[in-house]
Amino acid sequence: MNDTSTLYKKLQSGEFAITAELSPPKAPDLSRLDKHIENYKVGVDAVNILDMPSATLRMSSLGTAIYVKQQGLEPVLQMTCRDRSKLAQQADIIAAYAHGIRNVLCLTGDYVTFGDHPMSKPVFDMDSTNLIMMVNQLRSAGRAYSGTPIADSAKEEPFKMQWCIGGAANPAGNKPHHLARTINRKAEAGVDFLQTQPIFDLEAFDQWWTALDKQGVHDKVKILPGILPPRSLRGLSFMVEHVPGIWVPPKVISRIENASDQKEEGIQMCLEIMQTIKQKYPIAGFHLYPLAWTETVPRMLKDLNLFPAADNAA
Amino acid sequence: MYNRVWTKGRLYRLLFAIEEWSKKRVFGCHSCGQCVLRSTSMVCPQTCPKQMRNGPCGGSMFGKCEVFPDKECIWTKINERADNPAVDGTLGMKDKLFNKIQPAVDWSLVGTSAVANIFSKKIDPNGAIQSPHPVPKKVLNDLIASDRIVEHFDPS
Repeated sequence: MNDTSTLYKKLQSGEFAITAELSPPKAPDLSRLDKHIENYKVGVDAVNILDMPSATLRMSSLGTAIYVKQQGLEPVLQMTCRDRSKLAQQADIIAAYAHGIRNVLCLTGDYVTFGDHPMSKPVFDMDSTNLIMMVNQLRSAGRAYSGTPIADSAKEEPFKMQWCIGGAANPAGNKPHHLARTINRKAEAGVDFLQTQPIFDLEAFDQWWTALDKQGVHDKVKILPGILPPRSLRGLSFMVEHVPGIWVPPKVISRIENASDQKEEGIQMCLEIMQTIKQKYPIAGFHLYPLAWTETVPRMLKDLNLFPAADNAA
Repeated sequence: MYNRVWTKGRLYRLLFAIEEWSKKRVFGCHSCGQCVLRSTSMVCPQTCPKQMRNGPCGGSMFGKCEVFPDKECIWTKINERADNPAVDGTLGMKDKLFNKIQPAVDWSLVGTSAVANIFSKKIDPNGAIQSPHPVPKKVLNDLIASDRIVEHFDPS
């Protein structure tokens, strides 16, 4: 019962891992996720269950993650600090573990003013680094934030939950050595893997990677660069304007704009980025952001020869 | 939210009023009661909309705040000041910035005097709280190895 996740084992053994994102529905109808889950079943190792992305109301990530687990996929539970206090975070983490969820992604969360409930209270009881530290303590010491043991009686041994802890990183937007300091702190806090924001600018990624190298972060943390296949120019422009933390250089925008088939061009561009990154850097895997366009995932993985061999032949 | 200072005596309230007024004027103090200014290049991390104590959030782009894009990200300010040799020399910042993770805010100290909390040993002069809180991976592993874990987490 107290075993680690497949993703954790894969990352530790150095196997190439693929993670992807799944956004919970707003209406209380989980069957809407089934087609996306089908697309993810082959090739994707774990699926991030978003915790109200852009602070927009959705079903809770915990409830959705339990369903995804029942459907036979491995979920990565996203936990943001935006809506939960220290107590609520830990209560949800314990509940998730009891339901067989073993991966947790610790995020600070988008600010409430980006979503549909700008009048809601932003909690931010701690930041993502502190959340990572808290989950690491639950894992290695079996003790809650306050130091009290995770046990129901004084005689019982503290329960050590075998979490695989994830975090997020943004390789663009700020000075690389400043970003490396933050990543270094996350590494010290006890993070196992980091998923980055979607990468469109390989130059910025290279500078960031070099800065991390200087700090020696790569020995401590596995990095999964984020890949987002843009479906159209409109979709890409919307994201640049409304989703915080995404940097798209002008030449990428003009490339999509001038393409005769914007969908195909978006996929081709992502495949090029993935191939370059995979050849050049010792990454642990990829993190895919197909948004609602999950049918591209099996295709992209096939094109990159990342599809499991048995399914490739079929 | 209930302000804890009203549970204190008159002298405490007077001194706290002076501390709060001056720090608010200079640093935009939010009276968290665990002043980390010395560890953050004299920029108050509580002035961040998300109260980030350990580096910028993922939405900070080109030195600007995610929430108020016309405002500078406080972590850009903190990092730039730490890069400045003059500031770094005076405050000995770089070590603290590189090696130390600030614990989350202890809400039982919010609305109290940080100076009084230093004297009563609730925080150390760098602002680190003395109440129980998670510690970095390496420190935690050392504590587990040396069997001091219970002692460390005991709030008394």
